[in-house]
Amino acid sequence: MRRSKAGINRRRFLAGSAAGVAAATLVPRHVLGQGQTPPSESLGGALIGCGGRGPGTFRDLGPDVRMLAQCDVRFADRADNETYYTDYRRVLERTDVDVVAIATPPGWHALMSVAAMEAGKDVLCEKPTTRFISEGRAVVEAERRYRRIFQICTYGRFGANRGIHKLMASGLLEECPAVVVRRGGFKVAEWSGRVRYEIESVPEWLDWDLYCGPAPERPFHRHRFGGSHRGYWDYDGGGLADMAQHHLDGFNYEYAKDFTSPVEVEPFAPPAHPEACGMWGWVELRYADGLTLVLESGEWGERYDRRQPRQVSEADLDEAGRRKLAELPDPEPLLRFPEAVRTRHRAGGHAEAAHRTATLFHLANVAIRTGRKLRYDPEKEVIVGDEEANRLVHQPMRAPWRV
Amino acid sequence: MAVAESLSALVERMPDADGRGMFTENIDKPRIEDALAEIYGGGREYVRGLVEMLGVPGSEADVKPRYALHALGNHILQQGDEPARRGYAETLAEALAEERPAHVKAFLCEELQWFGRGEAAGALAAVLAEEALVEAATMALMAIGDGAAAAFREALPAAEGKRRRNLVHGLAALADAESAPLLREVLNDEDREVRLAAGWGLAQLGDAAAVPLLLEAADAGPGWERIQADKHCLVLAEKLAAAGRRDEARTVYARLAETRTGNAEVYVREAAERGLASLG
Repeated sequence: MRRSKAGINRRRFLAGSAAGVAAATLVPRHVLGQGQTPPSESLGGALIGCGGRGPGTFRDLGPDVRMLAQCDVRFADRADNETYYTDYRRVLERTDVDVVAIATPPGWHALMSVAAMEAGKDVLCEKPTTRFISEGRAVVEAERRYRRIFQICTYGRFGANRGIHKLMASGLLEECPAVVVRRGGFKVAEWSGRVRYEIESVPEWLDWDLYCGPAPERPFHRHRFGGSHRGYWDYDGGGLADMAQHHLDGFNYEYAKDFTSPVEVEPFAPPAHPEACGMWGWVELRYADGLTLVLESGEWGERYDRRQPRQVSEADLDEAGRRKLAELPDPEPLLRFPEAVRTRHRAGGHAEAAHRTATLFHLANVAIRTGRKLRYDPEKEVIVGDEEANRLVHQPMRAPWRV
Repeated sequence: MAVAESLSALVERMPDADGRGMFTENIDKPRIEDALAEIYGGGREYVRGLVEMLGVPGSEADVKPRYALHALGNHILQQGDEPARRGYAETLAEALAEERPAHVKAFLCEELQWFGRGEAAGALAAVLAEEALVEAATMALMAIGDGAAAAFREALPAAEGKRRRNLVHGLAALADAESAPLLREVLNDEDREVRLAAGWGLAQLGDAAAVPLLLEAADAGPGWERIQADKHCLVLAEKLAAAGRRDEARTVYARLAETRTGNAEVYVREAAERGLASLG
């Protein structure tokens, strides 16, 4: 009930507030044509994936967005294809929908983000950006091809250290001595999957085939659904994929890694289960410039002790470097989704930034799942010399789904 | 000790599911890895033995063999032992050809998706004919690549419905040039998903012969199919331009720029205009 209440609240809020009155008198964007965004307007919005974070994600679309459509595979018994939908493709066909909030399980994030941009919509997508690495490139390509606004729904970078970003983006440091250790907060045991369970019949209100989407259609059991989906490789990547986009969004911005990825990944983890996400100890990721990022679960195994944490600072430059740095302009401010939509300038958590941040924990998960040290080519976005590991970088999707 | 008995003892050393049915407690990495090393030493006979131990997904009897079979595949890759990997995959492929429950066969397809190569293509191709397995087999062949396109092409003439959708989906995902004539043929299929998959495949291929066909497909009425057809045209034009076929790319972009005149399609027209501008 929370999901429909949120929509009603939004409409009530708009109707009862000054902003709502103003919005009602403005010309919606679809009347002017998509891509022709006037500076102030009312936007038609849709929410795809209405449970959990859904209402909050929709709110982040901004104050002038009217909820026109809600889509969820749990609406099988109430879908009218006017307000409630089960099939997101029908939502995207609507020309009065300008912006879309996506809050489904992550196995759908990339497909829906890409499809929404193909349909001319701007997208605010819950984290994680993707379920595997090659999906992220498709999101980036769609953003580029259609010049839509994409923002990942996490905001660590907006409060990140801009001084470190300026230093790292300057290119004045040839080698980066920093060692960043993120310990804990990954909810590893909490978001593990079940290896022992009882198969159940699919509830009537659920479109299970559509829920599974690009993943194999497996026998239904409730733990695969409704939040605990995070514990299954089919839909997500455990607590690591669930939490790391939050933890690493700021890191990726601070260290100016929005357009590159690590070159080496080494895990410490027990052998992984084929379907259920499980325990791991730590993963060490190293960039070509020497920057080291360590993700440590704090929930299993021995503590990481290879290297001590160390930040980078201006003190790592010589005097001439510090002078050059001082002469450089400060970083541009980052735009949040509503501002990006209004100005048609790229959002702070744009597709490439979101994809490269997601690549960090996807690489970590590939290393955990294969139990191998991996070398990664950040340009080609492939693991070097490991055909089987690359099958986790680029995974086949079940027909008819693709990005 | 008989094979079954010794293997069972090793499988028993895999972790126990905790009270929630998860592998979160008492996960002893050295104990698991030592047992896997011994199973690895048992060669094909032990791989076959693990397959025989698989049960209904989620059942107590299935938990440890399922985990052990998958972890063994990774253990073999960690050793860099290609003959052992091939032996592992061939054993699973043989088992796939035998009489077994569909849920076991589906899991074998999934394991071949991760660990199989060309040696498994024949066995996977054979189960493309089975409605219950066509999805798992298609996905495995898409991942393996080697021998997959030929398997899909061969199976397509006799396939209908879900099987047909899967096979064309697989062909399109592989972007296999030899399959272009077949994809052009099914571009007017009565099944929308087949049409869209074919368009996607031809676009990915940058198939110049598909220019008029994809432009015609983009004449579809408003809705999902038209949105996807627009994408196919834009991707096709990008591929053609990248391959130096600027005239064909220009034809595609120009048509979209001329025809996407409504408010709802301004963004497509603008994408096409940017494409035209990039051609000079």
